[in-house]
This record gives sequence, C-alpha cells and structure tokens, in this order.
Amino acid sequence: MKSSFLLTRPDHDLTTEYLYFWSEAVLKSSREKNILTIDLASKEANKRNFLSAVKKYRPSFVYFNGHGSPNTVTGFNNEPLITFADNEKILKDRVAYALSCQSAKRLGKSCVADGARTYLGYDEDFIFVFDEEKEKDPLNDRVAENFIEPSNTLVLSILAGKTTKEAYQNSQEEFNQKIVRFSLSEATAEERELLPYLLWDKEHQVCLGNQEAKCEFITKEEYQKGQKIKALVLLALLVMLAIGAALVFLFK
Amino acid sequence: MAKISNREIRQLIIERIKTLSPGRKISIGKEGDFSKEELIKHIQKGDKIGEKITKVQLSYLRSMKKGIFFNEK
Repeated sequence: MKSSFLLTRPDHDLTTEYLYFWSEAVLKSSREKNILTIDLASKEANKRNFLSAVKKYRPSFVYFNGHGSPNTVTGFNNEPLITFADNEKILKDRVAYALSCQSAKRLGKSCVADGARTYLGYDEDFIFVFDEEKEKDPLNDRVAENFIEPSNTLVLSILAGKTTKEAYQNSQEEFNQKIVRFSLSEATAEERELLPYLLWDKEHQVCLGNQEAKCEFITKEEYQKGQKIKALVLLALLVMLAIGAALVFLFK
Repeated sequence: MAKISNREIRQLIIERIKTLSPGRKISIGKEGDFSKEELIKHIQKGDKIGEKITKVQLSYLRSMKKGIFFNEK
C-alpha cells in the first residue's frame, strides 16, 4: 500500500548536526518526487511526536538520524524513540533505516522478528572524519561528505522505488568506490587516512529481513484527496444516522 | 614469529593516528568527537574510546593483509 516517508533528525550536538544538515539532500529528493514527507526535525524529533506521526501517517519508510546503541535509537537530547523489548512493534510492516550507532546489533533484529519488513543500519558505531573548520557549515565539509554520501545513497534508492537489497548494494558500492579510489597510489595522504573509517562503516552496514521489500509512496495530493473522501464518508454516515434517528422518532 | 605485545600494538596505532591531518576530527557517535591529540591520550589510557579506535585501525590493517581491496579476496 502506498504510504508516507518519515524522518527524524535531531540536532542537539555536533554529530547530530552533521546528520541533520546532510539529510537535506534526501528531503530535496522527496520534495521533488512530491512524496508525503513527515520531517521531525530538531526538537520535534521526540518520542511523543514520533509515535503520533507513525499512528497518523502510517509511513512505509522510516529514516532515523540520531544516536543509537544495541537497544535503542534516539531523538532530540538522546530521548529514546524506539527501544528493544518496548515498542519495536511500531515498525511492523515498515522499512526502517537507522543512521546511528549499533542499533542493528540487537534492536534491528528484534524489529524484524516483530514484523518490520526490513531494518537497515549499523551493527557497530558509525564513525566519520570531519574538517574542524567546517563545523559551522557541515554541508560544505568535503571530508565528512565521503561518509554521509553512501548513507544518503541508500535512502535515495529507497525513495526511488528500489528494493532494500538494491538500496543496500548501491550504498555498499559507493563505499567501495571511495575505498578503491583512496587506495590508489595517486590518492593523497588526506584521502588515504579516511580508509580505516570508510571500511569500518561499510563492513558494519547491514540489511536485515526482507531483501526484496520496496516502498511505494503517496503524494501530498493523494493523501489530501484520501482525507477528503474519509471526511465525506464520515459525513454521509452521520447524515444517514441522523435520518434514521429522525425516522424512528417520527414513526414511534 | 614473535607475537606482538599489546604495548607494541598500542604504539603502532598511536603512530598511525599521529599522521591524521591537522584540523581533522573523528566523530564516534554519542561518545563525541575527538582530535588527534585526544585520541592518542585515549589509546594511551586504554579506555573505551582508545579500544574502539584500536579496533577500527586493526580491522583495516587485517583487511589490507587479506587483500580485500580491489576484489583481491
């Protein structure tokens, strides 16, 4: 069934700020495709909003940016959004990708066991190198770009209708291309020093569950039309109930 | 062949970290972000951060030995 795209992107520290800004590329693509997108940004990335948005919009794809551990993925100020042995069922029938540390180690497996279609993430820390001078301007940090682009490729692939396996492979391929390029003799010392961390992230990125899952997305217009039809059906039911009640009253 | 001691491994990783370009930092999730000098201190202490960076660097060195680049495997 066609549904929406939900992303969380807190920005309470330097690492989350980088992920916050770099998810703009993903948002740009979802806007261009006119996908109904629920963007829980900054302070909005809290558990109350997350649970309410999942219930209301029933997203087919959930993309978490934030800190994580084997048991949890967090939002603003490290508030847990989803936790092992607590609320994994919220991802039932959905595809999820967590750009966070370690969550695929235990939580991801548990989400799949509890009905998530696919859980993509990292079973170890997601590590990236960045340029201190670009801390205030993460989108122009060409060092960090090398780490975040392969992650964005995964999300963009899912938004483009690829299977989870294809999205994972596209991301792995992008990591590979950088690893090979930076291993060549013509690579600079600055490029070569990124290799241990690129290889680490690539090797710890995993795709759990259904490898052939695809997400179909609803547009804003389709959603609004659906809401109007629902409202009209509800109104028609109310009118019929009122007429029924009036008839009962008249013929009593 | 003589086994490499933990102290020697630590020294090897410190030497590798010393080559990190100036102005570059490493983000390790919620542990925070670290400069070259800070990482070296953590490796010397042998704490959680130091162990993590050692694990990353050793994993890379082992991959190079196995020849996993350029599909050599």
